[in-house]
Amino acid sequence: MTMLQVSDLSKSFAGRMVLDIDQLQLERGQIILLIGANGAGKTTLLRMLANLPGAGGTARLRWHDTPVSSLQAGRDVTYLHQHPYLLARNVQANIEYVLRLRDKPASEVRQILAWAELDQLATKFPAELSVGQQRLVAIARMYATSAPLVLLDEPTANLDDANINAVWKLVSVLANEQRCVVVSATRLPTSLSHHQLWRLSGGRIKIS
Amino acid sequence: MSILLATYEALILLVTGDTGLWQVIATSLGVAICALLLAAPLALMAAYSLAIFRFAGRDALLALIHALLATPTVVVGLVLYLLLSRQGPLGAFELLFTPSAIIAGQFFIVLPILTAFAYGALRPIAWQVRETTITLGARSWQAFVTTLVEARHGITASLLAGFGRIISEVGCALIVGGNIAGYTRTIPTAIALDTNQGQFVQGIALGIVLLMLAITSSLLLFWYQRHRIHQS
Repeated sequence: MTMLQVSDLSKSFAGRMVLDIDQLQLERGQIILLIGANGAGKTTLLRMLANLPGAGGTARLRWHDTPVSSLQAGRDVTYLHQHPYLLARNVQANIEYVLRLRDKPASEVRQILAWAELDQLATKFPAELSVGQQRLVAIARMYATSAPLVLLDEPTANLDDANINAVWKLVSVLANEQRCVVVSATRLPTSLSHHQLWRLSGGRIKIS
Repeated sequence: MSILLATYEALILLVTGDTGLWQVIATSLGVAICALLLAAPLALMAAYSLAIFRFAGRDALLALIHALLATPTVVVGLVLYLLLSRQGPLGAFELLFTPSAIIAGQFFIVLPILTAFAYGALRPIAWQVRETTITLGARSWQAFVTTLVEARHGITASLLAGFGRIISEVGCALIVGGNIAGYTRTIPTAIALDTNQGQFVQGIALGIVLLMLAITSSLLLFWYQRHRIHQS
């Protein structure tokens, strides 16, 4: 069954149509690559799907074949900013924060840290982490939400090869666990296999 | 009487626990803390809203808050006196010359200070924290609380700055409190009266306490600001 079906998605800004998309289908266990130049509207599209405040635009959504007005952030969908913000507390506490929000036992933190291979960083504070490590912690924190739709906005921007591979590894694991992962990038990554490719240009998407 | 002798006697007065003296100190701390606790929730919500939302009149509101930082406390006292006096619109509540009147005055003095300082602390991070926490499943009120926790050093600094301002203010407390012994007499109004009456020992004793309170809150403010700089 299709997890999310999006149709007639549109968004205008200052009288100009920035997104005009007929239909998108998102399935569980898929990795979808969203490719587009800077300013093509990748972030705008992901923010709309994530139902972030002020995202605007209109779209018809069917969630597991049921019409919905929007997805619930944190429960249905979660979104990673291009420059993620880690709370000013250690790595473990960042993940525990999400577990508390989602009414999950704090004991799950060990399992999540192990999942992202971040056990060694549990007591580190954001300022003590490299950009790549911060990105991995932010992905682990998203994982803790258990949201089946995961949206990552240019998660490998400004990362070295080792960290890029670490991010792609987590993306693959997320898909293997039957989540749907949408990843945006400015160019096609060489080391990530994907199920759908969305090319965004002129506000329209070409699916391949 | 020499200044040194008067200071020595003032210290004896403080150490021996003179009831009248400590009553004044308790009144001062009581009204200042009440005003601070009443103003803080309102100021924090206002600061958060100003940091997050764009609405008509936002810039004018920000300008007004910053303009109010410079309001002389004696003017706040005068306006409040006119409102609370028997002939005033709020005269029926009979609040004039009560601790509640001083709390009301200090509330209006400290509100813009807390709001402006808290806004300064929240503005750089509020939007980012709110969005991040919402993507993780936080409700609006949880996003608000988390943002306050993230800006805790700046907010503590704003509380200390506000406390420092009202604990030492004399104009409003004197006008709307009436400086009634054992009831509405605060440290600054007592010092003003003691000096007028030539009772320098008690004045110096209270001055020492006020100085210690002001220095302590300023040092805490300094420490918090340094801590904040080191964190970022």
